[in-house]
Amino acid sequence: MAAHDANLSLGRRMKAPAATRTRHLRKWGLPVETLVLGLTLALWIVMALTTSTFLTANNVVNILRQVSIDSIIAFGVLFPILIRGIDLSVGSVVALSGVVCASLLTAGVPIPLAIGLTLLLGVAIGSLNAFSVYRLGIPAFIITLAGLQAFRGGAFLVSDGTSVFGLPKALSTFARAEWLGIPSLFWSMLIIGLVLHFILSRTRTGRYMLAMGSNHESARRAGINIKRIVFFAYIISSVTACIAGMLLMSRMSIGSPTAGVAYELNAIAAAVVGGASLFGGRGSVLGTFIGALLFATIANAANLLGIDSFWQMVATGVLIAAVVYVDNLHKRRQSGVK
Amino acid sequence: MSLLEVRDLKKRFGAVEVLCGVDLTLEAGEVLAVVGDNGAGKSTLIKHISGVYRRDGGDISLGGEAVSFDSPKEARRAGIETVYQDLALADELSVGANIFLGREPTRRWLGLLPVIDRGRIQQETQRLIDSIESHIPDGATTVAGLSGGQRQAVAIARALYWDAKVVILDEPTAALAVMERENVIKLSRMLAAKGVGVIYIGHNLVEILEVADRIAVMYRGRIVHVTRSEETTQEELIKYMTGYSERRESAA
Amino acid sequence: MPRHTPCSPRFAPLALGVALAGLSASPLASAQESDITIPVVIKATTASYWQAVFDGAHQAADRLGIQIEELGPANETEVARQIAIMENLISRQPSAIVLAPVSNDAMAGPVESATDAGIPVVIIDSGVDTDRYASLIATDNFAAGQRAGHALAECMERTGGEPAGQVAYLRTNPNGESLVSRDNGFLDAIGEYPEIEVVDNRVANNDTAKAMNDTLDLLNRYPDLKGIFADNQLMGDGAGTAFAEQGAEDVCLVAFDSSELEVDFLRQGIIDSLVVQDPYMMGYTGVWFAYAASQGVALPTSVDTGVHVATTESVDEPDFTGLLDPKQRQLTPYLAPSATAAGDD
Ligand SMILES: Nc1ncnc2c1ncn2[C@@H]1O[C@H](COP(=O)(O)OP(=O)(O)OP(=O)(O)O)[C@@H](O)[C@H]1O
Ligand SMILES: [Mg+2]
Repeated sequence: MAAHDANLSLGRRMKAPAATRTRHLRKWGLPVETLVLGLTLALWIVMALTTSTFLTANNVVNILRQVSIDSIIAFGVLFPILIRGIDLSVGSVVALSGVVCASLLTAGVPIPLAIGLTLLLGVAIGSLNAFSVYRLGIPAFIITLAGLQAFRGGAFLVSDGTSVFGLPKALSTFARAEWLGIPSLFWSMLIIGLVLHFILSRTRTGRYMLAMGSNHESARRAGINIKRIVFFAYIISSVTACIAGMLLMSRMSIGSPTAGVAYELNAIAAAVVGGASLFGGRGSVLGTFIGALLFATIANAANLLGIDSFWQMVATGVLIAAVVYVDNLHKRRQSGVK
Repeated sequence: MSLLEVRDLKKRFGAVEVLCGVDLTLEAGEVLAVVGDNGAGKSTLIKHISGVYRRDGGDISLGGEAVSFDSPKEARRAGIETVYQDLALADELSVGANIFLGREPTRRWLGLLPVIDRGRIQQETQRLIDSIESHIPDGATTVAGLSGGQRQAVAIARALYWDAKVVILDEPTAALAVMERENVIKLSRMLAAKGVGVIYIGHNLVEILEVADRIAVMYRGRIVHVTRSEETTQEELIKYMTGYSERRESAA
Repeated sequence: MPRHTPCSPRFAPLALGVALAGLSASPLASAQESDITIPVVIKATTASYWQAVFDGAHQAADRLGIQIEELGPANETEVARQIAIMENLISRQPSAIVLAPVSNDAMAGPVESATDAGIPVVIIDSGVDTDRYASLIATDNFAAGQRAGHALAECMERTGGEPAGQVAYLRTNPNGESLVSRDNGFLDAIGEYPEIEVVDNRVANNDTAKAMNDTLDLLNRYPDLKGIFADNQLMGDGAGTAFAEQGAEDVCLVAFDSSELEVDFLRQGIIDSLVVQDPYMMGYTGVWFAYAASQGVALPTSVDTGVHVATTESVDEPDFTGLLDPKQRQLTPYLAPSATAAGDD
């Protein structure tokens, strides 16, 4: 953050020849989303040309399934990031919501009620995070790290340490269903993505999140209800994590307390690679989807090419670092001539 | 009746008396410059007007009515806009989004959901940009890509658009290049021409003499001299700013 | 939410361990019978396999009139967590420790430290790179892996007429001695079938969802794949779910251990064979031996608790009931499980 501010003041001091140079640079300074989209497309093309298994209906459907749940979690995590916060608890919330929903179902609670209660749990967790951040002033990083521990513990306690088995048929078949040749999971992701995209790009609430993340003081002075925005962002994050948890439960046909370990990191990585700034104020649902798609493609490609799983992890890590570096370079260039 | 009247304004921070009875009037349609040495109390004075601080004593009236603001938001609602030294723009948002921040016009999407009326914001912003002639390429660019002067123009445009009665500019040119200063001076005059009362705080006397209708000099928490700008010189202003008049009084 | 903010990842598993111990501790009456408490440190509190170990351990403790304390990291990959648990235990000086080491090399140090501190350590489930422990009660994982390899070959013979074609296997992690020997045993057995080719292996980090995705990709990459071996329970859950989703009837699937989901898949014929160990007996024997060691009894250095292969056909035979669902495990005469005869054929 210090570096960020330093950039700003630096920018102010060297303003003179700004206007022309800014315009010139913007021409070739491509936004990171475009870069990542290009990378993903390139990977798809290379895989399609070099393997006979990649561009098959079956494999594409597999990728769509694989990317869906990851994307949903990443969409949610994007919102706290937009307001310059973070939510590290989503992976554990995925597990907790899965075992809670599965336990309710196996205890005979009707499906709609079990889903509703699980979503309420998401609202409660999001509110708790937001309350801690907004009212108690605990840094989001700390409180959601605590959540990462506590909700995972909760998942173990609820499930007695083992997987919850015996879901109603309707639920365990849901994740396997396809409509118009597209997996139900992907439809779910599409609907959630569209709703969140709509909120972010078309409503005041979405715009205030961007404003708040970009310049908290400016948002406050503009009379924006900061409290409402903070609650909104964290509730979106937890509720989407609960939806993802239930979808994962449906896909695995068990509620597993070990589900979703480290998913928060994948989700954050997808958002960041998709153009979100960890300093807030910037990011999009579409970009996040592209980020998640890139990671899912890499995982799938590594499997199809038989690349060692560990190399795949290394490659993913290098990729995150590279994309963020390029993005920073781009931004520094921009603010340096501002 | 003046647009804004400050009477006997007092403020102390702990043991330090920062404002010791400030009197000031501002007329609609004028630029009133407030000058003074560092620490004279200029920023403290305007923060009382814009609702950041609560006064210890004295009165402020706006349009003849006594006012007392609990927050910048209240002051803003009453028509007092402040362009802060740090400008307070959201870098990642567009020029239009910044001008309309917190007051976006909405329309009903499919006759149901309220969504931001982006078309209208775009239109109005473009109109505004054209009217202030600030060389901002277009309303959809993000503020992050703008120069200091352009950012200042956006902040002032925001005040202009929302029909402020009083606009306070705290050292608006402090970080700007010479060319861009001219533009801010032009914008300030434009505000005044629209009937807005402008309070302009600055250190550069050449600039002050150019922009202001009247000049108030502050020295150690008091206004020690008020003059029309055509009736004074840099030398005279500096005398008052450095406490020349006080020394003469105490010598007498 | 806990009142004190947890700031290290160690928090939850510990709280969990303590909480579980609290839930399942015997009533106060038996605490007065004897104040001996034997800590049982397992690999992953989250898998039903380890719950069965605890069940067996409790059964033994009840018979002996002592207490046990349930400890362990949440996940098999948390090596540092298990080391920390051991360090804490050593400073508390219990009369003996039952330990299922998550890593054969990393846990050697803590085991030696405990032995040096005069605490007998009974190792269960997997070996460790030292011989300074009281006794090793484990599945011979190499032999178990061999059983899995042969089971897979048999299945391929049943479905394809001959034990031939491509196979692949899913690995939990390449770190635990038991899993490595299991995989090696599997490869050793497959080596006896010249027509079978092992084409790939995937490390799924003990994540069921990843195991599932990896299985889907394997099925896709090798359209002629004839068999997959999943080397632990979470891998089996994931692979089975992928098979169910993909409808891969002509591909054989052999998995390890027996979660409810795995048994369900076995019943449906999605999983063809489950290689089941006897975790209940491991826990039971572990506590019994630990108690004996604390009383100064000399113990055999190693005991093999054996494995059993359940197939879709044999799943409902009474001998397998207790092995597939340890909750229904009936204690049979000491170290002579009744299923041995049926399972060993
Ligand atoms: N919050 C505060 N607490 C204590 N003292 C303060 C506070 N704010 C201002 N002061 C003091 O009041 C005096 C006037 O400060 P003020 O910022 O109003 O000066 P200024 O005229 O705006 O100066 P500059 O030209 O440097 O901006 C200074 O001596 C300053 O140290
Ligand atoms: Mg000042």
